[in-house]
Amino acid sequence: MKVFGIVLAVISAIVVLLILIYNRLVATRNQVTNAFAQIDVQLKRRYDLVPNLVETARSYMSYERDTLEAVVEARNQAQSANQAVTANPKDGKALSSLMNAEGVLSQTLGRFFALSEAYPDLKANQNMMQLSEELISTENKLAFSRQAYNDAVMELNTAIESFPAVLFASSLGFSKAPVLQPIESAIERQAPVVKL
Amino acid sequence: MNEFSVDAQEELPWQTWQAAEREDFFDSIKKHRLVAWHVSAVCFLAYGLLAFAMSLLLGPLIYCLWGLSLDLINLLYPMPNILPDFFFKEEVSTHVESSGGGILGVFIGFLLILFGGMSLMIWIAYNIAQAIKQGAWLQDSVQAIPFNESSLSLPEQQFSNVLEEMALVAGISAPQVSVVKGGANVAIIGFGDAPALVLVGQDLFKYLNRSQLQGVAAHLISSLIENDGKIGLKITTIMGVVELLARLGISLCDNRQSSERLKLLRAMFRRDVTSRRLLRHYLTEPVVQDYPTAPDKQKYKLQFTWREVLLLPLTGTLIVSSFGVLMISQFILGPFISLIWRQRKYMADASAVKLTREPDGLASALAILQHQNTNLLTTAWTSHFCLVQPGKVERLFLSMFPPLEKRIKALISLGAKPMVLPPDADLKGSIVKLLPYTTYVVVSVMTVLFTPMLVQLCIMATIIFTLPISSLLHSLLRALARAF
Repeated sequence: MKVFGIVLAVISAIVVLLILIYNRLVATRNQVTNAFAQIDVQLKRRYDLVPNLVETARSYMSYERDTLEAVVEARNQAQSANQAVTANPKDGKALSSLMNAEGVLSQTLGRFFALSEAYPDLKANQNMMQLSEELISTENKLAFSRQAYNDAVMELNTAIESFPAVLFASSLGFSKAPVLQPIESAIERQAPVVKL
Repeated sequence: MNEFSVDAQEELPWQTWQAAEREDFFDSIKKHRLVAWHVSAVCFLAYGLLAFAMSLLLGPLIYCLWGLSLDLINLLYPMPNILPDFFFKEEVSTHVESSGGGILGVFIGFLLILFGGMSLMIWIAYNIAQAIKQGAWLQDSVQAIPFNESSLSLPEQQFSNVLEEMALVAGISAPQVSVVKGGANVAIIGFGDAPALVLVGQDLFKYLNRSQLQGVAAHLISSLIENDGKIGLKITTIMGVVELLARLGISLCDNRQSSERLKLLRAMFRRDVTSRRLLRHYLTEPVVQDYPTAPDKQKYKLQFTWREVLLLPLTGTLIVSSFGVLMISQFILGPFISLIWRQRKYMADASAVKLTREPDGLASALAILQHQNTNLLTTAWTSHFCLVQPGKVERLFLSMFPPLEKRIKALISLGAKPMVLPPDADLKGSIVKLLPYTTYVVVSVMTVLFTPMLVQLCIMATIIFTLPISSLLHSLLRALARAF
């Protein structure tokens, strides 16, 4: 009887432990999903802001038509790439083309802001100031949501790889998530060519 | 090409943030959290001990009052007799000793005695916590500048954006922002169940740029996700119970305060809006009384008349115990509480770096605020919500905020750009560092010695004053009831 009681206690302790571990895994996995959804929200916000920005700048920067067109073009490309990913989320090729399109959009936006420095009227425009602040904030939010996603992924991967969980996590359907690399990394990693 | 880049890096006095430094802020957060946790555990234990002692002391008083009120009702309607009869023996007595007996009886009696005081204190604590949580106190303490979302100035818009960014990376919903009249300081007030509120002194926007605002926002959000609000609520509640009981003790010694006493009792036990406001007022000015009419000379002089002397047998234990507990709380445990806050400020700084991955913004913001007027929420129970020490906070022996130089130094060790700091910081720092630790050892020993002494003193006072007079009254009332 006594032995039976002890065995029962041990088994119930193990069951409670398993429930706790399982719940932690589910919570971290949901965090990862949520963080990924946040990235998408910020991308969409950026697509909405860019046309407004270009419209405001158009009257001041008539000489920079090419840059403005490039920004709009990059924005449209990124948006269609995003729609392709939304339609087929498992497609790795669509995802990488989205990453590329976003990288191009970031670059052209950077060039646009650099050029707009040369137009004091534009810089002093209240509307432009607010729009560019919103866009800067959205760019930051994009970066921060990627950071939050990577942190969540790190937590999930640690939870999956930790000792008791590593025995059964994969059989319960938990798999490790990939960490997002910086968008511009492919460009940045190219060794700079120094001509002497 | 490689050599060129190495040379270029060595010329810099500091390097930009490196991936390897990532461990630093995780370690720093862990270290400060551990220290804060240890000190809070010691403090909560000490306050638990004090509450235990206090309820042990209040217990007999409440028990006697309860017994006497039963006796009074007994005049009209028969009621059970719960007080011992020393003077006139009844034929049928229902003593605790006769019914219980043995260890169990003693234990039950002990619990009964504790129950009164404990439930009294828990009820007061609940009321204080609700009064703070309501949030209406903000209107009493600050003057908000009304503003509408559509016409934000650029810095205001930037600040609300960086708050949103930081809330996003922390995974919580963004707090509301309210700009108030005040110095260059900012506070976050959130207790977990409602959206948090950020109060910004309007001067802040004069001095800080976007990246500095971002560091500030990160500090605020990380103090929110580390539950500083809830911890502050607990600390204020516990200290508030002690302070209010002490205030009650003082008002019991003073003839002029009979109306004040009623107001205080009402505030402690009722739950309406006026009582809540009074409670918040008492938290701000817990022990110092305000006499609008009395001349200055008599301001702090208590009027001790025959009425107080007559009441003394009943109130003596309350007065002695509340004073004793107040002294221990203010002079001995107060510095510990400040130490908790200091550790939590360092922790919030480090976890702000975890959010932004960029220690420069916060460090340079702190360096700028060093020389500015930072008045905002200056009372002792609200100042811990702030980013930096808000001016001079009253009645604190050890400031709740670490010196700004030390916070900046800690941020520099997490990778912020080095800056010139006042040279005297080190010498002063070492003295300040040594002083609290030696006092802590001394005072914690003293707490351990004081609490049993307090208990003994008050048990003696109970035996001498409360018990005889209440049992005399009890016997008279019972005799009166029998006579009719």
